[in-house]
This record gives sequence, C-alpha cells and structure tokens, in this order.
Amino acid sequence: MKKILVICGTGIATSTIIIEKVKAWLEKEQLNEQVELHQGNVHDAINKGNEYDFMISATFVPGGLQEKAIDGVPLLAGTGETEVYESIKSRLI
Amino acid sequence: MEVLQWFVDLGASVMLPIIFFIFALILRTGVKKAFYSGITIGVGFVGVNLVLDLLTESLGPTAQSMVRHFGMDLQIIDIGWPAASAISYGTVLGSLAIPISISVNILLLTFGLTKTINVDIWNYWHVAFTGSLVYAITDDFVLGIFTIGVHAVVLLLLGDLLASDVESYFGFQKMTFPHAASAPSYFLAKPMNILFDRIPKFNKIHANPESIQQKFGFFGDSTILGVLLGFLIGFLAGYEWKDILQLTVQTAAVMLLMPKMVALLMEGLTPISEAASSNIKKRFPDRDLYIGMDSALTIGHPAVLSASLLMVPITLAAAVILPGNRVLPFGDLASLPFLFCLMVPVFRGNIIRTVITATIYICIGLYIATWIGPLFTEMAINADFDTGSNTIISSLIDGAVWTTFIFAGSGKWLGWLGIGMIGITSIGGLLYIHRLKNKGE
Repeated sequence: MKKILVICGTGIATSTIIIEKVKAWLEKEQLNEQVELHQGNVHDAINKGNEYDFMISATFVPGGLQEKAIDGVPLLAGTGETEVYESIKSRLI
Repeated sequence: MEVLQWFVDLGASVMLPIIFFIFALILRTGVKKAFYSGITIGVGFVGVNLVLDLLTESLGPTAQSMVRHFGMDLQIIDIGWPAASAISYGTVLGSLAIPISISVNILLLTFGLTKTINVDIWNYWHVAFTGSLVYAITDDFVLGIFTIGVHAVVLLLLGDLLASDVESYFGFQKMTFPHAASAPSYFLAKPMNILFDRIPKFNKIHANPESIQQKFGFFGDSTILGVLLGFLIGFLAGYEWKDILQLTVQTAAVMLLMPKMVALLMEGLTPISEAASSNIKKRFPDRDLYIGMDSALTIGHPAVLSASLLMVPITLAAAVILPGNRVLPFGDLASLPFLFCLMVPVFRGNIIRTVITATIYICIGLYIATWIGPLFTEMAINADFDTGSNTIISSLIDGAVWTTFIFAGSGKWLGWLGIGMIGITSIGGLLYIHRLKNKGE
C-alpha cells in the first residue's frame, strides 16, 4: 500500500479535481487497491510530507521536497496527462 | 410561471441537484455520473448549511457581546469563500453562471477577441456572486444575468492581460489566471511597482521568504487559526473560561469542516467541469491560446505564501483599527493568498512591496466587505441559507475585491447603464489588445 498526498494551495479546490481524476485512472488500471489517497495544502506538505511515499502537486513544492513530488498541473490543463499517469505508475511499481 | 415557482420553492438543496443533473446530461456525462454529480452537490449544500449554522450561532452572539464589552463593532462575520461560493451557486441565477460564462468564452474566442480559454469551471462562482449581488440590489433578474455575462468578459480581459507576467515569473507555459478574486489586484500592483521603483534606497530592499514561512507557518494552518481566533474573540467578548474554550473548539471546527463540505460540492461539479472544458477545448484545437486556470496553482510559491502569512495579523489589526470597518475577518484569513497572489509576479517576488500594496488593498477591501454585508446576507437568504437571527455576514473573497464594488455600485446607482458601461469598456479593452495593438506590430 502506497500513501500519496495530493496537494494544492488550499487543499480544497484544485486538489479535489486531481484526486477525482487520479481515482478514475487508478480504477481503470486496477491499481486502486494498492493506493491510499490523501488531500492537503502546502503546509501539510511541509509538516507531514515525510509520512507519504510521494506527492502529486498542483502548486509549487517547498524546497527539499521536490524529489518526492509529481507535477499535477497537466491533469488540470488537460494536456500531457499521459506523462503524469506514467510517472505515477512508475512510482507505484 | 407556476411550475417555475414550485421548482424554486423546493429549496436549493433539491433544486440544485436537479439543475446540475440536467447540465451533466446536456454535456453527455451519462445518466449514472449525472445522478451522482447532482446528489453530491445537494449533499455538499446541506453540509455547508450545517457548518454555516454552527458559525453564525457560535460567533454571531460573541461578536455582539464584543461590542458591549469592548466597544469593538465588528459584527459582520466573514464566513469565508467556501461558504460564499455555495451561496453564489445556490440560486437559479447563480447556477446559470456556468452556461453563460461558457457561452461568453466561446463567443469571444470565435471572434478572436480573447486568447484565454477558461477551463476553471468551478471558479465561475465568482461571476455568480456578482450577478446575485446585483440581483439582490435591483430585484431585476435579467440584469443579474447580464451582470454575469459582463463579469465573464472582464475576467477574460484580465486573463489576457496577466498572461505574460504569469509566464515570465511563475514559469507556467501558455497559462493564465482569469480568477475573479486574484486578478483584480494586478491593477493596483502595476502602478505601485512603478512608484516603488522611483523611491531611492527602498527600491533595493529584499526579504527572504523561507524564514518567514517557518516563523509564521501556523497562520497558514486554518485549524490553528480557528483555535487562535476563537480564543481571542471569546476573550475580547468578556466570556467565562468555559465559554471561551467551547468557542475555541467550535471556531476550529468551522475552519476545518467548511472546506470539507465545499470539497463535496467540487467533487459533484468535477464531471460537469471536465466535460465542459474538454468540450470548449475541442472547438479550438490548434490555436495559440492561454489556458485559464485556478490561481490556487500559484499559492505554494514561497513569495506568495510568505507575503500572505504576514498579511494575516495585518488584516486583523486593520479590521480593529480602521474606523467604520465592521467586518470581523475569520473564514478567509487562511485564504488571503488568493487576494494577493497575482501581485507577486508584478513585484517579481519582492515581499516588502507585496505586503505594503496588499495592506492598502485589504484596507479598502474591508470597507467594501462592510458595505456589501447586508446585501450578502440577503443573497444568502435567497439561497436558503440560515444566517441565524440578526447576524450579518460577508466575506473577504470576493467581498474585499474592488471589482465587486464596481459591479455592485454600478448596479445600485446606475442600473443597466452602469453594468453596460463596464461591458463596453472591457470589450473595448479586448478590441484594443487583439485588433489595434497587434496590427501595429
């Protein structure tokens, strides 16, 4: 079981959209059993970032955590989504 | 007409699921998804109402007691944008903001009058907000609809104007933020920056964002902020210890629960928003366009975050000091970055410049939020929200945004003429950018 933290500026709006998309993709790939999705804001990333295997972020990631984060903005923009899913997949397997 | 009235009388929590179910069907999401979508939105509404009830019942009497005990007249409660968005979408007029904004966007794209393709459907609540506000003032439904359309045009103009600063500073490629709470600050930041550049010595000062982020980080945590505020306000109201501590946990609960309820609304809206945005994009595939996104994307930037953290105590102090301000900043304190984030690229990340400009901005904003308080409350009642007995509510987002004042003021004093003039001016701006200026190049 991998723990993923999905973050955006507030942990309310854009991260919800990303979570919904990632959830649908995980179900399609039949990976949903292996993943636990959590939602948060930038402060959660700073304070609790180490508790998660990796992050998907809709905003700038604080220093020191860049390696742990996947840029989730393409999922919102609707271009380059495949690459995002590929990098999520590579971190799950 | 009778059928329509019956439908409206069902109340927001029944009417909205039906409206959004129909929207989803029109966008061909499939019946099952459409049904889930509608019901989730309804559940979100019920949730927001519950939490809003808790807020007005706990903080309302406290604010009144603060007046008696301390002489601080801060009786208008800032309920925060999550509740403001629910109130804005909570009427037939408000929900129509989505199809209207999409149509305006498609129309302007077709005529080449904008380069912004606004896929951030959720944030159409801001135009629903001004539309509902003008409707609450004038009782003219059609003028409310017209306001929604005009505000949508204004946002596209802002999106086009911002794009180059957004790309060069934040590095977001082909993206812009036509966000009604954030983009207007750009107009104060631009002239202020020119002014700052001319002040000798001052124009060389910088501040380090990382250290601020560490020292003031707790201001960014809304639950902690709820604890601090509840305690402070209870103390100022002259409460007993037991009541202070109870209020403290209640305000913390509101801060944590309100966003969760609104996240449900968003979840319900996501299939609709996805279908709508891919639909718009399909129509304009190969064009050189900016994708309009939520300015939340910029909030993690260290300069944005640090400046906004500093603005939390400044906003509270301003609310207490400013004579005539009656707004008690609460719900939006943790969301202040939305108001200031698009100043940051103009100032190239200079925190001192951002904080000075943001202070001026919020001082004006508090007066606007005070002024719209009674209208905001009427709007909430129109959307079936219970604001408790004689509690007046408002919010900093978008209550403290100057465009809110322009729309509400024009609607109040000039009616159709006022809103029409805003529309003509912004169309003029778009014509200038995309026709006249480009021809010269």
